Amino acid sequence: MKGRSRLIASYVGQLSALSAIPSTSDNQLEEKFDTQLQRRQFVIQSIATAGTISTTLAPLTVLAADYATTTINPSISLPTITQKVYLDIKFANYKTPKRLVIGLFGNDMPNTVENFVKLCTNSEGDGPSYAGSTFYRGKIQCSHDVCTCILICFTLILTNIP
Amino acid sequence: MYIDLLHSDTHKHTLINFIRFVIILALSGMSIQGGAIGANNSGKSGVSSFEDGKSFQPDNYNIKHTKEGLVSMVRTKDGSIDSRFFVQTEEDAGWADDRYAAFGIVLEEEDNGVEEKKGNVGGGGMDLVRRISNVDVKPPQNYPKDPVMIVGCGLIG
Repeated sequence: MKGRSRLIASYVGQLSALSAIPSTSDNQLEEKFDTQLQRRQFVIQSIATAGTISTTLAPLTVLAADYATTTINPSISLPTITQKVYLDIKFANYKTPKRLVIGLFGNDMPNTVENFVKLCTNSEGDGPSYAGSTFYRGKIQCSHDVCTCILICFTLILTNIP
Repeated sequence: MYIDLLHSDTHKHTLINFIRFVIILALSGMSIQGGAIGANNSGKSGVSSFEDGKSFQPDNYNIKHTKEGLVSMVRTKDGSIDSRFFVQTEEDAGWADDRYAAFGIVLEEEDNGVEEKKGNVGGGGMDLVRRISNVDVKPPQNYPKDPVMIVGCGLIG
């Protein structure tokens, strides 16, 4: 048990070390990084707590480690944009479509970008095209509170197993 | 019934997968999805531009989801991609890292060639993405009540 607690402490330590990374002078960027850090910290702590409460949930600490090590600094610059495509999007109640411009990272993702560009440039008869398709949305609507509840309930159920 | 989760790999994996699912729920914010060619409104399938519309494996998962407006491909059950894509509407979408291939980003640009008229919807870029994500949806699948359609597309420059 003690060993595990130390393990968790070291992960949390890693996180606080991360927050000490000197970021650029851009205040906004620092704010973004802070928010990201807080969110991940929240999740990691929930998992770590669950891991210490119950031996059955001990494997979760591994997961916490996963998340602790994958925390990323958002100031990392994005790859170069090689091509730009547009999508004209029309809402049901408006006559004129609006244009969404997307920059593509052709050097880093050659096949993926080629596929996307083809789908944007294919005219009728050439092959599949995005023209005429609609947006659908598979959004998962779940707030942080609900998820914490699920996590706590799950922990309680598991720890009460005789 | 006592389930020894520590000493059974199957249970351990099930548990870890479940928790991972909860974390995905916790971390996933909003994203807009589109491009389900041939399966309009359902989003269940898509078609790639390669031979026979077959889905294919993405190049890599190197780009991390740390910026608002990143465009990634939706994955099928076996991890391949077709025509479906989603736009990230939050700064941190760590749940998508190493799982969804990001390949582009929404640019804040002036409308190119699309006529501005009275009663037109807001600006392009992320404003437009947010507008799409705010349309009324029909539960449980959350399809937009009124269609939001891609009426034209193409390459710039």
